[in-house]
Amino acid sequence: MDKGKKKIKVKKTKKIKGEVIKKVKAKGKMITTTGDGEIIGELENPEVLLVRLE
Amino acid sequence: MAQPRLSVVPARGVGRKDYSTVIEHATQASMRGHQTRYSSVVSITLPTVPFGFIYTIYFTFPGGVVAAPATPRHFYNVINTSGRNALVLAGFYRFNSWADYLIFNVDEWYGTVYGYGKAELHWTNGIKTEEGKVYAAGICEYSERPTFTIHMTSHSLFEEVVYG
Repeated sequence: MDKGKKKIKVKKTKKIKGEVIKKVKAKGKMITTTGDGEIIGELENPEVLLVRLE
Repeated sequence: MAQPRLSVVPARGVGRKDYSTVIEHATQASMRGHQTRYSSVVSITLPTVPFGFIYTIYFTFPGGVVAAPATPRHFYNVINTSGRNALVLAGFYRFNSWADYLIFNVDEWYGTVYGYGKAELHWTNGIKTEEGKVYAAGICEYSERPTFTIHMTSHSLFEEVVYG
């Protein structure tokens, strides 16, 4: 047996699977600002997805 | 050949020598990288769902677009907190397109973490965005109340190169 050879284990990328149940209108506000506080993006009551993980 | 001598820079105490215009001229960069910090903050109220279900919220970029721009943004963290000592989820996902996001066809899963009251994801080197891809965070709290409120914060850097 060749002892010099080593088996290399390949790490598989873990995948996530899910199924979208519905779109939900959330109550809230998402704001993106720069470091100076300047607002560059604003979402009033954003839509979020409800997902069931498999 | 003797090196041309720059003007004498006085040094006081320990550390870097004092400012000199001659040295500044000698070390002037022709190209500089400039970084701008961004914070995405959301406070959101949602109906409670059983364990195994999650909510996802997409990130927007300047101009309100969901697809990442050509200039990369580096995401460094996603922090979800709720006011209760209940199980909280934080996740971060990448999708190839908006259509993929709507059916939750994940291209790259950067992680999902759980915690009581607080769940946070950190990337030391940041996650570099790719042009045209959609990025979303996972948010959820598992409690016996009818609704929950999650506060999500995400910090990112936007890098641009300045030619001087």
